[in-house]
Amino acid sequence: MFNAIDVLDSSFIKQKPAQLWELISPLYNVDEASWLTQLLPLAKPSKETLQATTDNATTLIQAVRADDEASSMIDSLLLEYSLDTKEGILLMCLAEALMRVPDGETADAFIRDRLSAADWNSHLKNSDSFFVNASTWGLMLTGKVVGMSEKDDGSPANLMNRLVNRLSEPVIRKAMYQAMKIMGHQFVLGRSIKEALSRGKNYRDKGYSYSFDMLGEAALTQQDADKYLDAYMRAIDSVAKDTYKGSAANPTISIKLSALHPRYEVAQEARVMTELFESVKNLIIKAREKNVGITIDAEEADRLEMSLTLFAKLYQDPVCQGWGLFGLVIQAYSKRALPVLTWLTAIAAEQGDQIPVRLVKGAYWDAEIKLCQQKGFDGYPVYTRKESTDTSYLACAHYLLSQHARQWIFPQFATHNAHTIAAINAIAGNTGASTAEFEFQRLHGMGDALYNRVIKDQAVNVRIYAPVGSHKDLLPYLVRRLLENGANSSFVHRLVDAKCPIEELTHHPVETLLSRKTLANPYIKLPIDMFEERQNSFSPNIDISSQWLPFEKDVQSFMQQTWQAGPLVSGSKMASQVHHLVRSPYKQSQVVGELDWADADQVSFAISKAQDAFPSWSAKPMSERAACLLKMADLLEQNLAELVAICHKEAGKTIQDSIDEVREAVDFCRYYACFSQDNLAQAKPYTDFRGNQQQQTFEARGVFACISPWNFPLAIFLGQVTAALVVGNTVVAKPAEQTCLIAMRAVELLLEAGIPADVVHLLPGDGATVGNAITSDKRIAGLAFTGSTGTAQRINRALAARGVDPVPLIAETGGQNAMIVDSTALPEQVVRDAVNSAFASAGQRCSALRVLFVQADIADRVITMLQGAMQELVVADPQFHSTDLGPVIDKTAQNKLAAHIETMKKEAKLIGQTKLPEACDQGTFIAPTAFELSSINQLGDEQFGPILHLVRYQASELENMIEEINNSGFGLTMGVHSRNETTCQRIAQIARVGNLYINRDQIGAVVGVQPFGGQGLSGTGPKAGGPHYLAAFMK
Amino acid sequence: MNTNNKTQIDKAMQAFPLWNQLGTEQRAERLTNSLNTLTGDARKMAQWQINNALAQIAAKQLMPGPTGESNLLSNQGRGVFVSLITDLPAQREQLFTAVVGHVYAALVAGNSVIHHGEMGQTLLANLEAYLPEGVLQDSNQTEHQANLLDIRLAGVCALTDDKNLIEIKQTLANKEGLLCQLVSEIDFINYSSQAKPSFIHQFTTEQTISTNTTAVGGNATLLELGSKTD
Repeated sequence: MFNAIDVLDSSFIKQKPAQLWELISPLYNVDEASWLTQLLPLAKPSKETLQATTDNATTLIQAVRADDEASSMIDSLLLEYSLDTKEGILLMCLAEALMRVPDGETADAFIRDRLSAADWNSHLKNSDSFFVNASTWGLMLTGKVVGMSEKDDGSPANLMNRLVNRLSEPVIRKAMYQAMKIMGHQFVLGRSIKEALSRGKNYRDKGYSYSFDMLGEAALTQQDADKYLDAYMRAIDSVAKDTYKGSAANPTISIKLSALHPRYEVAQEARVMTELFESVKNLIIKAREKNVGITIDAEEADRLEMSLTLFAKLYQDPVCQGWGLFGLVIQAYSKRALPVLTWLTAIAAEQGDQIPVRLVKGAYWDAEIKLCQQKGFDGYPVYTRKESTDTSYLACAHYLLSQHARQWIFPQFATHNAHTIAAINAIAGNTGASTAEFEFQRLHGMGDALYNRVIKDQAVNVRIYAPVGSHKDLLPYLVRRLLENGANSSFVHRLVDAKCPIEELTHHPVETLLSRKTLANPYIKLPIDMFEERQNSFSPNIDISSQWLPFEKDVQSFMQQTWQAGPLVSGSKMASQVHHLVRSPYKQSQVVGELDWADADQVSFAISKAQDAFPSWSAKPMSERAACLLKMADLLEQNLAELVAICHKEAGKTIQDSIDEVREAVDFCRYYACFSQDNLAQAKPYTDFRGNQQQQTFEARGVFACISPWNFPLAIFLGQVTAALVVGNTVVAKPAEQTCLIAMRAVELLLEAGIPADVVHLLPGDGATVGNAITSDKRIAGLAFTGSTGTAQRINRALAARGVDPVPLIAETGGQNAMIVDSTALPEQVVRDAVNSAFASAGQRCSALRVLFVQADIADRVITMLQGAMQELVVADPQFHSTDLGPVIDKTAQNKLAAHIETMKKEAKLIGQTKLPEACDQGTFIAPTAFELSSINQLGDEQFGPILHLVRYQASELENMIEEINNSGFGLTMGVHSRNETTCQRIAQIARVGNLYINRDQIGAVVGVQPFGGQGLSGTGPKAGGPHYLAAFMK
Repeated sequence: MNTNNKTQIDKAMQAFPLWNQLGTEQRAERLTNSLNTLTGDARKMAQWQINNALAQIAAKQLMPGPTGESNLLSNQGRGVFVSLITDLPAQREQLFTAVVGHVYAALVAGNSVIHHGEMGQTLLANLEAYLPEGVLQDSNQTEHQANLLDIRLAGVCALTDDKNLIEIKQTLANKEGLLCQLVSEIDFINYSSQAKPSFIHQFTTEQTISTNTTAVGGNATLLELGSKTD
């Protein structure tokens, strides 16, 4: 970590850009308190500056509040319908989805769902804005009418009310569409640049200038990317034709890179640096020719380093050299913001062209926090307090306004905070920066009065960032940004709220931050600490170079290694007559290791050993056994690189899948260790049915058999084994034939973790020899199995045929998993989640999506998008970061899936098939394929691979369709995409599935968070990674 | 399988979803209303099974997890259970209490039940006023073998001897379809299997509902957490 204050020394940026680049990545998720301690001196004002800033901010706020037209319509709307009210959120939800719903029936149901749940009456006449009050009247009346459809107790209303409701629906729908149009009009400056220029004229007359953005969803397909590129090209042409003669600065355009490439991801950096580079370069050529500046918008933290590399490549290209109007956005909430600014200064100084830099606070804060928690990263890339972000903003501003920085960077301060404006002005005063050397920026529709005052008081340029495009496309996007970021603490909200004392708005963020007990927010725990009772599993972030490069090196050090496995009984590897070479599924010529299979005698011997060990193992305190699991979790994390390498080579797993595999195993170990100690170590008192006090005791059963699959060769293997072990059973484990090497390594680690050698035994082999020997042995006291329904039934028969007392069979079996999508869903989100659910891990997950049910009204659009997204998938060697899908597990699986594809080609309509590169001939690959069916009944057995089936349905058929899915008897996972909560709740009520996922993908259940397991033919329960699982291993 | 058996399973299957969707509290309320038809240990057992279900399976459990999503774990009935009893060396009242334990636990958990044996008639007479049609049916003793072979059967609760229990297990295992739960009791003094808090879980299956709440504005709450003062 460098000394942040050093950036104020002009010699700092005289370092080579390459040297400054090295400072960026290590700060990705640096310890927040340490780094803030560095930043604070840069942001801390002198006593005099603090007083001047406070006074200026106070004056500004007083002036704004004295202005009769202080709040714009959006400000007023946000004030009245703040997002800490149910109505505020419901209104925004309605605005987010309604305009894209094509069919009246679903639209009416959606309006009914949203409006009937709120208390619109309480907002009536609270606002001074006519627009807001008019909206409230409309919402209240419609809310009342739609609310008539149900009585207070939820029972159906009488016939008259229902009739009124039915007759009113088209009228209400029309009114709501009109309301949404009004909102769209407020949020969006114009449907075209021409309209935007026309509507913006009044502001330009006041001295404002513009940056236009054709905002929208990220492109999922090349077709979408081409559409956005075309829109940007046309925007440049339109801006160039602007005939405005006023004194305001020329308008510029802002571009979003994720809209210009379907795979703007670190994993696809090679494509980004060529294909996306060419697209943006062409934009630059045109923009430079027409003298229209371009700014690249900032996106998620994982893409920052890639976006900077791309920016530098473009900036240093001859087409850009000497221009000075190619800029980018930097987010102050990023811990890397300051070193990024110094690096930009250095490349600008090296080339001699100024770079315009818009400094924003950051718009993806929530998503960044959530992602880190989900992925188990070792910190956050953003600050966890608002005042920390504000402090960082002022620290960056201090640097940007210093003489040596502003020579090469043109700072554009985007803020709606009066105090920030006052602070920037104070810093500029202290550093001698003139108002010509920087500008302010604000969003269209926000902070009008604030900046009207600023423009009046000082000769500084103010640029309005204005969304341009169709209301239908933009409103959902903008509203989602508001939903994600517009909490009631935002300054915009409080500035116009007369009830909020001015003193509350003029606290300097440095003072506020220093008044806290800790610099980092204790209410936002680090990802690793997010569970109270246990540590979360860890993952490096493979999109961040400072984490990826050393991790990749570690993994590569194991890629030439081979492994050996065989029967491991009482810690000793036993000799065997059956010997196999293990080959990589992605490259059959590559030998991964050697494997010996156990024979029936060895199985019997292992069970004897396990039985002998049972009394002493089960007599140990729970805490002692749990300690072994906790140690095991640590060992798994310490051996992450090797385990990832084995997952690649033996199971054909991609990098992220391999890391997730190890993480799940770690989570199982920690969850079961903690749960057993907290809940099962002591007898529990209870009152029996006669009123007597009793103790419920928990005892281990004996020798447990664990039979696990190849698709999660470490996680499920260890999930079963550790559950059985921790409660005091001894274990004989039979891993899948295809993935014994990693199972062997897991058992070696278990022994290293302190599990006695006689307690756990590994028995590799096939079902006929090893499986049958285990299931027919009368000494087996229970069996955990994950695999096909047919095999589970055979195991059940074998156990029953022993003629001894029934023992528990905990079986996790197959599914025919569906996802249901109605017309309120966001198609981009649907396709992203469907592609991930169906094709990730080559479709070889129990939870994977097999049948996508799409409401007919939006099916064509979803299918087109799905086709485009499938074309972008990369099927290849799984050890490459760019690979989305690896191979299927073996030739047998490949043949079965290929046969199904051939059958479907004759019996169904092919939607799309991803092209396989030639190298895939070396392994057992199957191209991701999608078919459209007329009914789920066209499907037989589950196809355990990357094959998706799509069925259209009419809105009125929803319940029958779910009944049809229920009738299949399978019930593992189901996905639902709908903005209508009533629909989601209804599906949840009637769907007979173990795991239901709403508005997200349907794979990747997390231990202790999403207990996993099916109903009916999909499993016996209890759910793995849930609170009832361990009890099933006890009596 | 004769037509009568098929009709009974069909009827039970048909009754199951709505009964299951009622939720534990509402099922408990209806079953509680029936308690005055029972006396002695049987009544205590029924009351205890209802209370135990309310304590063990009624509430949805909010699981911890990342911000911006909600994960709820709940319990549901498994489907259709067959309850049966064979000749056993115990008094009728003792056996009746055990039958009540099985049937009330199965019902309050959300299952529909077909009871084989003459006690079924008594139970049905007691309960039918409080239950939707088809949720509880009785059948004569000789027919249970056919019902056990139905592939849709979710479970069996049996009061029988060890030998017969093993045979039932084999019958269930040898058919296609669901892997049936087999629940039994052999202690007719203390009912040590039935009268345990964990007993109810043999009649339930679990469901996890994971909702991405960011789609409906959940992240605003998170931002507020970020601004929380300490």
